[in-house]
Amino acid sequence: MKRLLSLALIAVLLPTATFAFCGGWNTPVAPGFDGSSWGEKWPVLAVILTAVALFSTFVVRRVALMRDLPEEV
Amino acid sequence: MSQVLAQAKRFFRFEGVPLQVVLITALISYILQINAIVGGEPLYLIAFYTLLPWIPLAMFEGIWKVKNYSMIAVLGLFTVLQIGHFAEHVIQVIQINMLNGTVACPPPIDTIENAGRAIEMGLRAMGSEPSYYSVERIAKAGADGMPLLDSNGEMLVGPAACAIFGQLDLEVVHLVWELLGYFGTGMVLLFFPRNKWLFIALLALSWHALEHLTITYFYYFDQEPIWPGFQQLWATVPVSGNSYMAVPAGQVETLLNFYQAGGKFGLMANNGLFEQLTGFDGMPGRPELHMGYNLAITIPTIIGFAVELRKLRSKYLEQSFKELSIDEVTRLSQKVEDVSFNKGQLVLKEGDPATHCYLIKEGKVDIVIDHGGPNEKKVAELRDGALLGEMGLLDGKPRSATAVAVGHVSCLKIDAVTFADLMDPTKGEFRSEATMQQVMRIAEMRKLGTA
Repeated sequence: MKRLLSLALIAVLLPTATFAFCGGWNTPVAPGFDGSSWGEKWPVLAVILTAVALFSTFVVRRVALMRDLPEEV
Repeated sequence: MSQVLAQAKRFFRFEGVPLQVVLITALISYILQINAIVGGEPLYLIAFYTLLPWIPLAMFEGIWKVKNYSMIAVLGLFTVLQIGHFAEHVIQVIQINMLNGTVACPPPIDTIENAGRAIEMGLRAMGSEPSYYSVERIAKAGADGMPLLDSNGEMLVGPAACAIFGQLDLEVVHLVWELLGYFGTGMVLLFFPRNKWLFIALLALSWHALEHLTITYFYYFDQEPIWPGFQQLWATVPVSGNSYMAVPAGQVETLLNFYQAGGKFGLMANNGLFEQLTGFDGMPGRPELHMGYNLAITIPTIIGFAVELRKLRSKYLEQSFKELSIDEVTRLSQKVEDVSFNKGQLVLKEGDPATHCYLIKEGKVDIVIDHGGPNEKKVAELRDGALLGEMGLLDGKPRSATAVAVGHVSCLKIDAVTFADLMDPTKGEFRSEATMQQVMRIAEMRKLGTA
């Protein structure tokens, strides 16, 4: 079962991943929009990163705790 | 594998909705679809009208499944929604890379302004009214904002590359869908803490959430116009029926905000944060990247669901037969049948042979002696979670009373063979001494008239 699922996963992933990286929506950025434009936005990025990290960590910790409980029969 | 397929077949068939309702809905859906095709409606409206009658049915069935299968059904619903979302991304990438599509999402609409430009360009009859339909096809624009022409001087036309439901290709829709998956998977994981596949899906969803929260923040909250740029103008032209095409009609100079200037590419896509900071130029475009994200989310979600699907079991049986293992309740769930009765309908009839019993899922049943006769007497009232008709199976005698539905009653029908198996702790599939004793206790109490 697990082997079949893994094969199915690889069969779907490989061509799709190749396909995903061969195209491109090459719309240019506005002149003057560069790394520093993003750099100015670091407080927003930091808040978003922290919020996502906190929620994911919360779930992972809860799940880890529950994994330690005896397995259901 | 065959077990997963059998359980998937069970999960994806209509169980809570009667077959007649499904057939009527299919007929209405078919009529609406044919009507839309004959009426020359664009693809997105054909798809919309086809799906419309199924929405209430799917909601009703979804609620039924959640009530009957609990969190596995919630995971199943997330999986179905995620597959639909991924399919939209795949269609968009095919439209861009294989069908010469143009990303202008949501697609331009046949408004007064766009229709007027088409009239000015001589592409549309004077006095032609705007339809307010979204265009289905777009002619590619050159750097000057005018149509790109091929070697024969023809415009390069392809689909509006916004998948099927392009009108929903809005930042807020992407964000809401993503957050539903993110928080939903987080919640579902608490119920299936040993499912590693859902854990992988959560990690992929976490990264995807970063992308969409960033992009949506800039779209809605960072409006200061700073960068000089251009806005593409479109002229809309009728093609056939209610299908319209957008033709590039030049550009106007304008000031762009952060999102328009480059924020829309997000963190990792071509021209996004990563490329801007590192100078690297080789990341996939946003549509391809986000299809990749969704692939990384959808595949583990499907596998995670398949793993849990093997344990698809009735919540009602699990509550009533607490002594059975999960595996046994799962197998028992495959042997019972869902049945329902309307108010006043006879569930069991006095004197009939005992061939099965019921577990009441929801509703109330009156147990009556000499029903409809001169000595009619109500001897008991059974509610949710009670066994009904098991006494006849235990003593092998005909039904000793009539059971009448008080309002709508839904039950699980257990046949005599399965019941006998449940009652025998020494052989068969379900060997539980405790279950046998529990059922015997209920039957004894009922004989004494105290149940």
